Amino acid sequence: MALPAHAAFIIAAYGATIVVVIALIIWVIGDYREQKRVLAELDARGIGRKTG
Amino acid sequence: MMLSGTDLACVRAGLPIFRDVSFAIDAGQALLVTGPNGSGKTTLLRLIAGLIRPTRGQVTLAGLDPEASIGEEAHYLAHQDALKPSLTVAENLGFWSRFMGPPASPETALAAVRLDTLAGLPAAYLSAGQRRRLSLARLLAVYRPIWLLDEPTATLDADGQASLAQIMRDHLASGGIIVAATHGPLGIDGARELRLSGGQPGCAAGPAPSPGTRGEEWGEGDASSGRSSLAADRITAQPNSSPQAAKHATVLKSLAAIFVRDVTIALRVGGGALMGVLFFLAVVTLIPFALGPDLALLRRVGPAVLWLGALLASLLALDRLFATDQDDGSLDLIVAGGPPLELAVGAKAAAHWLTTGLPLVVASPLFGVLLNLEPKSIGATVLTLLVGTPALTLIGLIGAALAVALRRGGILLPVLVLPLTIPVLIFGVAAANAALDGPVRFATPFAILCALTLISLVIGPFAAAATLRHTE
Amino acid sequence: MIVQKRPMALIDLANPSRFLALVGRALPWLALATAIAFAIGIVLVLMAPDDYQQGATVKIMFVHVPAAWLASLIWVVMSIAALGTLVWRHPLADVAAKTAASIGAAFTFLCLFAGSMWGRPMWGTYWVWDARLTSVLVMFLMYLGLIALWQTVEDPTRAGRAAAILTLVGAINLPIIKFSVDWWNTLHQGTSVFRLDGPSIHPTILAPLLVMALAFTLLFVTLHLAAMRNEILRRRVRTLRLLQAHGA
Repeated sequence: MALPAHAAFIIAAYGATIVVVIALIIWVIGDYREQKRVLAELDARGIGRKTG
Repeated sequence: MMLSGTDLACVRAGLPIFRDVSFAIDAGQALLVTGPNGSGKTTLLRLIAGLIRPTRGQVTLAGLDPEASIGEEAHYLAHQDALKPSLTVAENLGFWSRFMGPPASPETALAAVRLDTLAGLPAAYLSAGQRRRLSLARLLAVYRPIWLLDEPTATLDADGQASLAQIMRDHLASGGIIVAATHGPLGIDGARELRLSGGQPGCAAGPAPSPGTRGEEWGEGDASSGRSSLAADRITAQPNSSPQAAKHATVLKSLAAIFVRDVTIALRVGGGALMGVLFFLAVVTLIPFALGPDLALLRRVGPAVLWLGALLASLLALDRLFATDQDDGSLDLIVAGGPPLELAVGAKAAAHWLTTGLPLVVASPLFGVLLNLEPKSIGATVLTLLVGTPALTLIGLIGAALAVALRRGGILLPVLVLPLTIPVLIFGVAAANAALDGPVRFATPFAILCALTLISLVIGPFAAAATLRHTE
Repeated sequence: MIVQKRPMALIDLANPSRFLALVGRALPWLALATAIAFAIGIVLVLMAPDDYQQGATVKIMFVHVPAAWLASLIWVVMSIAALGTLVWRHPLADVAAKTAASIGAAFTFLCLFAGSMWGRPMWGTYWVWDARLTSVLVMFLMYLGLIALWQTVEDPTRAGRAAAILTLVGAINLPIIKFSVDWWNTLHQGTSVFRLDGPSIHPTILAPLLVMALAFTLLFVTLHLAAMRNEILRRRVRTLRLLQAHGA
């Protein structure tokens, strides 16, 4: 298949989409891990054990 | 070592606060300043710290490094706690340790006030009493012979007050001096009292200038002169007159501490860089709405629009330079004792530019695309902004310092600073526009722009420091 | 355990722990659905014919248009969340609003960037101040403003209330802004007649467009729920830290 004209722009547009989507996914997953880590650390110190 | 004040009088905003105040304190002695609210206890402490100039009389410190000011040899514990909520307990104390210079042991200090378990907790979560204990840790972390304490027991519970009393006794025992404003007894024996009664002449019931003689006392016991000789030994053991090289290193460390702290806070709190860039974008977006979407026209005015946006965004961010430090009491500590104020202010300016000015420069190419600028134009504009935004920050220092002095913020600050930034704007835009005409036409205004930045590098911090020093 | 047969009411989502459990179970399926939708969408995009005028660059539309739809859709979601905060005082409304703002800003940016990439080969410039792109730019500004608000105000409850009001004001204003920008654009119609609508919708174009739109929507739902979960955990950390301070 011959490369379409202005391929660079099409690639740029879809490339940016992929980058943004992956960045969002990384943000969500990374934040999840971070919060879990801090919660585990606080739990290890026994904070908040008695409350529901 | 002796701290003495002779015939001190203070007038602020036309009102006499106190007069004929004299005192003399030896090493190992404490002076309690008492009096009703408004009688000038805080003013006297700030006067001793060097933050206020007396209308008459003087405060002298004998027996230590003659080149050091009292502020550099004193810890000033004000009503405010000088804590940054976004930094952790350990980070807050670490900053003051590094800023105030060696020797410093933040970990033991935290343990002494029983905050070591909370070392990693952001200071925003602390209660009032815990914040006060963290401030006390500052006194323990870095040794300074003179302690100026303003109602130190406020917000402390009974345990805290007992700890404080012990800490103060230890400090006196090792030859330090304490001047404390208080409403009640602090639990130290043998302290003298200086009673201020609100603007009345001859109100000082303090001791006579020669130590160890008259004066009222709290509790029994006497400020024994026997202690002084022991204290004298202890004092010479302290490294208070360091060789030049060590002093330079300390100054650099203090400046680095300020820089790192400001950048850390800006990155953690967020909003600062984003707001500036957002305002920049808003201005850039507004212009076409006013002028119309004529791309040819936008291309011609593009560099000017970018400069205007960056300038306005810079001005708006300025009042955050000193305002938070003023509010939480950090500014007093920075002014009173540490590295030369000009350099400290310069360090703050550097941190400020890095977190507000540089993002504007980074965003400008993108906004240049919105304005249909060609790459050469964008390049030239970015270069001029890179050189010019520091000048805007440094000139803005003066306005920010004035806002501190006048205790007014808001729109006053940009209005004051705007005229001063006009030369930078003129030559910045001229250089950016001239880029299309070739490198030679570009070089002249660009060189002038660089010169302006260098001039502001000198004028800005000096003027700002002078303003801050003359603030009450 | 819980009897599952009654339909899930809004009240079930009000309990953060229950919500977390639900999200934990639903997320893998949502992620899978998203991936499948994107897979089908990409295939359809590749198979779609080129436009007789614009060539293959018309395929940028399959990213640009769904991103634009989502940018508006997310503002609607935030508006509903804002009503949840102000009117119904739903405990999760704040969380939904805050997390949606970041995702919405990202999609708005994508729309602008893809539009720019579409504009350059077709009409020679990376940016045009045409009605649609300009309106999206203004919406982008407003998204960023909301994010700045969430970041700067420290108390989450106060931030939530302020953001809710701003969101609703924005929801009313955005149509007005769109109308004004349209009018402003027609004023200057002589200088630029750019239309990023693309060609009229043809079935072979419609299918990939709809599938991509669905894929993006599923992506938003997945990301949003996951981000809401993170935000709930973050608030839990905050509460525990407050407890920690009181304990010492």
